[in-house]
Amino acid sequence: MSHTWHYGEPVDGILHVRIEMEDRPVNVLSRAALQELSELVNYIGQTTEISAVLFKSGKSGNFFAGADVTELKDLKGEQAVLEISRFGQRIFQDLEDLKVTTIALIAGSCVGGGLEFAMSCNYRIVANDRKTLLALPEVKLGLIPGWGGTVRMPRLIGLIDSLPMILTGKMINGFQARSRGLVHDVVPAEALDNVGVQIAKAVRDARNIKAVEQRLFRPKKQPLWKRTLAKTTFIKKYALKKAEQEVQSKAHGHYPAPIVAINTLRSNLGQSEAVAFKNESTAISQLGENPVTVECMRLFFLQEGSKKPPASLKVPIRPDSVNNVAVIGAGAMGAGIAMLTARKGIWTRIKDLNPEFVGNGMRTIRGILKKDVSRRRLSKLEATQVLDHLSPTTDYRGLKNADIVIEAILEDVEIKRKLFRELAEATGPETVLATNTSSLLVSEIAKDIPHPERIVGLHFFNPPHKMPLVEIIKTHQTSPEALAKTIALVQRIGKTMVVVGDCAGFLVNRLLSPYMNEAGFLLLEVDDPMEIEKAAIEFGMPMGPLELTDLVGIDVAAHVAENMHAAYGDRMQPAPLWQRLKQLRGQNEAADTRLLIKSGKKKRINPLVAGAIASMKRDARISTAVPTKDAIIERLVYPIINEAARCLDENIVEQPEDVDLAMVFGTGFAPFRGGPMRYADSIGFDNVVSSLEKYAAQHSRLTPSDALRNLAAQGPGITDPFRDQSDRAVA
Amino acid sequence: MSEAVIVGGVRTPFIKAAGLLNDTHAPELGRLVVRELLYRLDLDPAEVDELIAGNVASPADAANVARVIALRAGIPKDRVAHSVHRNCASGMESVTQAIDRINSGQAESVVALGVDSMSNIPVLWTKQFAEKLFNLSKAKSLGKKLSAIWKIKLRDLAPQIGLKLGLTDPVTGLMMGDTADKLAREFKISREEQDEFALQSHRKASAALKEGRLNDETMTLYPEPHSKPVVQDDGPREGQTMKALGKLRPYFDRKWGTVTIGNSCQVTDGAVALMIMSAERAKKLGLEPLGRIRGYAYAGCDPSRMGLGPVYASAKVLKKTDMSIDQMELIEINEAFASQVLACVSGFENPPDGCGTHEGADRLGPIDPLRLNVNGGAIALGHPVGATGGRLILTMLNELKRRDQKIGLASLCIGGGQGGAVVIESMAA
Repeated sequence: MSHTWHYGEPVDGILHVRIEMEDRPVNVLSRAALQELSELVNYIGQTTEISAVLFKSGKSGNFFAGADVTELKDLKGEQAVLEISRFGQRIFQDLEDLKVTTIALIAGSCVGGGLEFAMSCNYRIVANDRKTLLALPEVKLGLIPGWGGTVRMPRLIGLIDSLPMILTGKMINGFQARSRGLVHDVVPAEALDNVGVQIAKAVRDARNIKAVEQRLFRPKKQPLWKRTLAKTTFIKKYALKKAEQEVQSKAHGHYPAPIVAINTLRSNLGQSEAVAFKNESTAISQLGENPVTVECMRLFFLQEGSKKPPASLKVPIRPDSVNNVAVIGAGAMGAGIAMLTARKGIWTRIKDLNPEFVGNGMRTIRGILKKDVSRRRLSKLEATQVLDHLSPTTDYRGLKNADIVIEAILEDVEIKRKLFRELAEATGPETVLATNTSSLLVSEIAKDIPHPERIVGLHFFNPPHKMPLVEIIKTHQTSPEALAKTIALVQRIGKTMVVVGDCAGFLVNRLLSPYMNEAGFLLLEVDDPMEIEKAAIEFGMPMGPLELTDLVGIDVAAHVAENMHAAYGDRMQPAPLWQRLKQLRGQNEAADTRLLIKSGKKKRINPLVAGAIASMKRDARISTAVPTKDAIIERLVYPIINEAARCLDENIVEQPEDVDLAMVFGTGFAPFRGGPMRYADSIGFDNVVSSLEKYAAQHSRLTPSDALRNLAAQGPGITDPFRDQSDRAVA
Repeated sequence: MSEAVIVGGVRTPFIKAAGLLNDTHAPELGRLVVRELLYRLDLDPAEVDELIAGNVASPADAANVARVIALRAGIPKDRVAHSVHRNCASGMESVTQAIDRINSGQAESVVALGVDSMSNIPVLWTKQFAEKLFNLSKAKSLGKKLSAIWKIKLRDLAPQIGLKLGLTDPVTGLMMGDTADKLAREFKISREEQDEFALQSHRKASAALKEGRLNDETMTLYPEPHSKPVVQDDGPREGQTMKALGKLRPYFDRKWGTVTIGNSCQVTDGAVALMIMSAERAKKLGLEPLGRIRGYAYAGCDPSRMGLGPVYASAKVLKKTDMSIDQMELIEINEAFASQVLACVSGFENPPDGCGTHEGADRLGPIDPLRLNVNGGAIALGHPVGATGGRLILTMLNELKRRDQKIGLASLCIGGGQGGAVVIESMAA
């Protein structure tokens, strides 16, 4: 009795197989499921009256979610990975070698091992809905496809089109898949069965299969010169070389999987498929135990886990509890947030003070949508549907039925409090009032506002439509109901969330603050400012702290630094350079105080800033030794860890995993290192403490906190690579 | 039987065609105004039973424009929506049908909409050209295709302007402006009288805008492509002079006519939405009624004198409501043409032939000019054909409330030879 592959007697020689795992929300290719498939393939091969097999999922919105990642993470050793790869390869090969016609009828996501399975069938017909997406995302887990994907994908769509699929895990919809030749046709989901049967019969009765295929599918052919060119080894080698250069320039050698994939594809050129399959297995087995793979998988599980609400929340999350939101403030943040909610079919009222501001917001939104339409991320009709859900206004009418009102106005506590007092009047009793503040305390804004229990923080990062993380801030007054509704909204717009306590900077900006600030101190010590940038990028940050400061804007950065200083005392003392640059700006409004400016393709220090640094160095007569690269990295990163330990101690977050998740998705903190806490655990919290002690002799702000010492005392294992997230309450 | 009341209304600014709303099609105008109405009343779209839209230009891509608007505005799929067409009274027709639906117990809350985008009236190909194109698409061989192309002549490419077709009465062959010239001749209304009336319309409308009297009923739009705010009507010309109006050449009867584009209504885009409910439903939802329609009437008349329609329809509705013209504290006669309104004014005083066939002529009488079109009319504000009927009712409700008055008469002439009139009662506290 199979638990995944369900079928009855063949009808008219056609066997209908329903793929439906009984005890899982989605279908995955677990070892057991593979074993059952192997038995099914045997049965088909031995049953003469079967002329065709139709595979279709019984799950809504999912065909196959790929390999069972929970099983993958438990594989120990190269041999185990090699074995499971060969096992799957053999079964899929048997499937492909069947004499009968095999047809995959794909509705819903079909990714990883699922797509490798589908590629082993003779025909693939996909549904034309939005949920039907095809991808080989193994690389995102630090792996490569291991069940023939690196062989069959290039065979079906050519090497050049395969590269973005295999190297970046690019997701494509049915139409994109058809134009690449990955699938044979795109039809409405409810037509899949009928189309499958018709194909099966047409192929069975065909005298000339090629002619039948031509008639049924009318495949689009590329011009002859293109086809010929794409087949030449020279072009293939050139494409691989180009891809390798791109990967190197983006990943700085931190991520082995894409490189391994490129090498595998290269070594497969001109080889028989049997050899190619072997190459694939060998390659993936080398990756299985790679620490980067472990961290990628851990982050995958953390992200999955973050979709669930925190265990402490005893109120159920109802996805349908948010259908109506209002966004106050049509600036870049407000407009971006309103676009996000409208995009998910939530009726969105967007308000600002006057028609000009609202008009600017609408223009921002239309600009984003237009770009998405031109990049084909959105159809014209879908863009219209987004706009249909938006209603601009300059007054408070229409807020009574709002489920959540999100404030995104000026960062001024008095103005915000005035607004919240007005909102308390204008909204219904159930309406949650959320502030998108980044630098003020939510409880400060909520003070003396009627019904503070319905006030939360909802901190989006800029630009909201691109940044994956949202911080949800609960004050000591926030009600569980308000929190549940806010979580429902964040889930609905598909963001990764972390629930944090109310403190200055919340989690992410509080941890970033010492990092950016320390860069300001370091600028006065290093010989070449670009060494700071290089060190950070080499560590694995998406950009250096100086570029990040420019992105935020030096004025804002200096302001935030002062706020942090006020909130946390001298350990967050602003770098004197920030003050100096602020003064320069005060003397001359137009002064360009960006830290870095472009020169050619590279960035270099702004001469104005360099001048300021030089004069400050002279005045201070700094004579300390120039810090080494390692010292730069430690002084940038360890304060993050130090502050994170305090956050844990103060219960700003519930567990170290929250820190890692927030920093990786909120700031791009070196994902392959697993986040600050994971990184500290891997090098030892005690080493972080002793290094900080060393620096603290000269810079007291770097003194390790008691919280950090306590973690060090606990020894390694603070962060389990795969801590069971199931203790989190399931909605 | 439940009594229908009007609980709210809002309209877009009325914007000259081919102008700021050039890229905003009728379904979009309708969606915007319906959403705004729902928001202003804090009304869940699920509270709407039905949507009726008056629309004349009938967008080719939205044959039943009402249904398109209802769905795009989030009104649940299991509700109904239909479009109505009674030419210039389409926006009034949607209101009177909504009232009938409620009074007969078939619905409890209806959005009555009037919408037209005169900027987006399609330009049509001639039938000959369409046939030739069809033949081309049927041609299989290259030779047949070439010969089909060969048959298309340059003159086939001349488009037919939809707006012009729409404004021509196919029964008499007269354009609407021709009927206005005819009334001017028959009622001996001089060019100067017409221009003076147009001037007053601009002055009254400009004053209303300046004093913000129309602000409450108007929403702000942020149209494609630039999202620049469009806050109010752009038709009224504050600095309008008799001299400027006098310079204009007659537009329809170019030689001897008196009707110019200056003393005719402007061609305009716009939409109006009114929320109409049974009194019980309004009470249940805590909504204060603005007013109600005491009675309405449509009357037929000579298509070549369609401008007199308001006279006949008013007589009919006054009889129905058992009232007389001097009880009407405010009067709106839609300004399709200055000559046409002036002909009506004279017709109210001395009911013309044909009016006798409708009982109630005795209830007519001279109109106090101070009660007529107090905030200007379509000559200044414009006439988005399908929307105007709704605007007359909405503006009058607001004006009655402002003046603390009770009863008004709103009427319009209808291309093809009809008139429509409603007696409006303010219920504002």
